Amino acid sequence: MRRASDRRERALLFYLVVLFGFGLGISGAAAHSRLVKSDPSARAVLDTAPKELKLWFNEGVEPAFAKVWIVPAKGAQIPLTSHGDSSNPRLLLVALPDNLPAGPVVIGYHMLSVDGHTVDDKLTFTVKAP
Amino acid sequence: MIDPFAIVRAIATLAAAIVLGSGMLVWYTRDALAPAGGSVWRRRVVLSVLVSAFAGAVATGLGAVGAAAAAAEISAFSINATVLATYLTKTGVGRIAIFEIVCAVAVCIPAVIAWVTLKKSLISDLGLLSAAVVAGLGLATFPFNSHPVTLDQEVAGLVSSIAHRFALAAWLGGLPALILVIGAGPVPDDTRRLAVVVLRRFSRVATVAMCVILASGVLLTWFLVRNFPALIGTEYGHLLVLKLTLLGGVLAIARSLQAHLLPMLELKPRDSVLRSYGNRVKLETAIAVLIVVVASVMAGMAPPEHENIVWLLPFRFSFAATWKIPWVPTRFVGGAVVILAGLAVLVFRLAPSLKPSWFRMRSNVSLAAGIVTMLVGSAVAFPALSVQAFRDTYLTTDIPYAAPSLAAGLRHYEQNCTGCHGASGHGDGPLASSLPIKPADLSAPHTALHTAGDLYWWITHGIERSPMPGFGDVLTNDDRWDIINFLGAFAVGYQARIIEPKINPGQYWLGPPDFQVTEETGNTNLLSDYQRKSALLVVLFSCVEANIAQETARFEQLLATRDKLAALGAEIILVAPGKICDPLRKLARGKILIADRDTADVAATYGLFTRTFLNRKMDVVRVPETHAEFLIDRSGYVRARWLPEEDNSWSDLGFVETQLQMLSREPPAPPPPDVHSQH
Repeated sequence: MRRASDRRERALLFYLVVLFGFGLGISGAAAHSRLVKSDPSARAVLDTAPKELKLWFNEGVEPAFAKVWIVPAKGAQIPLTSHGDSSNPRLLLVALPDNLPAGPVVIGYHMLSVDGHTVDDKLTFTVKAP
Repeated sequence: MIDPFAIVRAIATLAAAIVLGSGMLVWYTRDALAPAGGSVWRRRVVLSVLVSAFAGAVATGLGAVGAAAAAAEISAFSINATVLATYLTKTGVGRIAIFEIVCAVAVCIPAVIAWVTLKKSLISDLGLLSAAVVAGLGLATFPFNSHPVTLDQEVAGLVSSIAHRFALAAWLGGLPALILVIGAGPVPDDTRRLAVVVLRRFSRVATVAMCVILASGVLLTWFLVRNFPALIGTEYGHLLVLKLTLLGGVLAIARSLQAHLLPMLELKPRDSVLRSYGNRVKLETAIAVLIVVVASVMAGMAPPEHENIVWLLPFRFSFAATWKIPWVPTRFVGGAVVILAGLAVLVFRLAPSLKPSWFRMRSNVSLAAGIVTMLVGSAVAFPALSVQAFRDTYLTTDIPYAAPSLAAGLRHYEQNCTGCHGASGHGDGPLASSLPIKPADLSAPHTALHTAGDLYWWITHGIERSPMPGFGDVLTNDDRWDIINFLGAFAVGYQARIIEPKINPGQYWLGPPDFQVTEETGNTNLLSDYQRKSALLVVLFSCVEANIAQETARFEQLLATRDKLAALGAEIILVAPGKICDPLRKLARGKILIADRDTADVAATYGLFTRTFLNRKMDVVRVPETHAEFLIDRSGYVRARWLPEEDNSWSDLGFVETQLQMLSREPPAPPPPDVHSQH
């Protein structure tokens, strides 16, 4: 019985070492879908209204399930059309309406990333009054 | 509330695991199944595999329906044929889901064959083996639709994840088969010897499986959780700790079975021991199911990188922030040596074979001595590294360390902070002398040693027992992060005074603020997009009337040398703000890169890196405009700078070419770290 109890203690010590290892030995880099840049960039102040919005993500997105819309100050969301870029799976191109008003423009987006997770976020840029 | 898809995912995983684990176990023990009890057990296991195969097929199909609905943002589990078809045929994740469904359905065929050919044991066993192989294929597919494909270490992540799932299935999936042999009522006499053989062989499989689970689990944790604060400060981390705790319970049970009950059974398979064994296996199975549910919930979550870390301890440990404090290295190293000594005593107590002959201490005394020594060592070492921490200490932001943010931060600073911290940022504002505690000198190196989250907490809530007020009601969240970005650049700008016109080999540490650049073609990029592509010569022009002739001459000189610089892998970026420099920008268009957007912000930001040890007029937060040039290497670090007011070395562009040649001989360095990262 003595040996069995020693073994249990060793097993416990092993577990503690593993747990400690989990806690302290961890570092490195992980990734998950997120916007890395856009054109116009988030919070940019623009002299003229842009015709197109480009969204670059840190990993590939599925354009078939991309949804992009304008969040107006009042009223219903305005859906925007978007499409992927065959040469860059991380890029989504969004057509903006001609009548984009001056002031802050809030863009909402919903993406399905290549790891099967969805990402919802917003970005804002401002168009200066003429 | 548990995500219903997590339950569906868990059922699919459990089902595949039972098909694989139980099927393999029957195959592994088929030579011992000849007695009557063997065919009864085989029949039970095949039935469980058959039920699991069909349950797995349904759960895998439902999982795809759910994933499609989530992607399309329609209500959960609603079946929309168009959405489902688009998901399955027009997306990469959908095509992988098709393969998973095919595997899950295909598993049913050999499972049915195994069931209908029960009397022909070889065919039935082959059916079970085939079902296990196909179920294994399905299990190996799942990681291609989950976190591992987004890792920087994609291949290592995928291999670890697949190994983790195989090992989990071999262990967990075999447990129901064990219950069917010893846990489903009294064990008949003709099954007792068989039971011992099955338990022994499963024990071998489970030992290997558990080692693989632990090794792959450590790797996946390394890849996904990233750091200790994320482990204890995020929901994902909490679930991981729960999973580890459950795994600890499993290990304890498994160890007791392997070391204690199994040898007793092998000696004599008594009823009481079999009953006790069966009960422990049932408990182990219940915990294993919980582990799978927790893992399935985790698979549906974003890794901690996307979660805000909530730090609940009033302190944290930091080498960076404490190492230069007198006596800290001595206390830490001394304490660590004492901890190691205590650990050695404990190891000698638990593994006497490792004990040296001179070590003579009674067993119980050595246990107590080891623990006490480790505690004393910890009490000496860890407080030395401890610094104050707050709920937001590890909070970070998506607002990039970029010129528009830094310039906005500078403006917010000028509007809110100069009264106390001064126009210099040195803590010498007009109100400073009337305050009981001198405001912090923000140019000091310690500013860069606090986490961005610490600064966020202080700016939001103020500093306790000090005159520093909170600005949570005055400044928006973005404004506060702009100030933090600015403060980071402001403090590091003082350290940048040592950067010379000449490259110091291997000295890369200063990451430049990002900004938008217009290419010769009119396309726009970020400065950071040039990492790994080209070195950059960022030229900050002094766009004031008095200097324009001199600036134009320099511009023409640079333009004339651009091909030579390009041959050395470098591009020139023009930063020339204001109307006075309009002609320079026009001349540059189509020829070199231009900071065309937010140019004044770029100039103000890079001005922070033009301070010198000699020129005290630069000791203000908004540095007076001056001509400055920065050489950024291909890895993205500022490596040299030239201030014409200080020397004339770069007047001869041959000097710059020499620096570029030196840079081209250097091996690539890792990209500059995120300035919001922890210390």
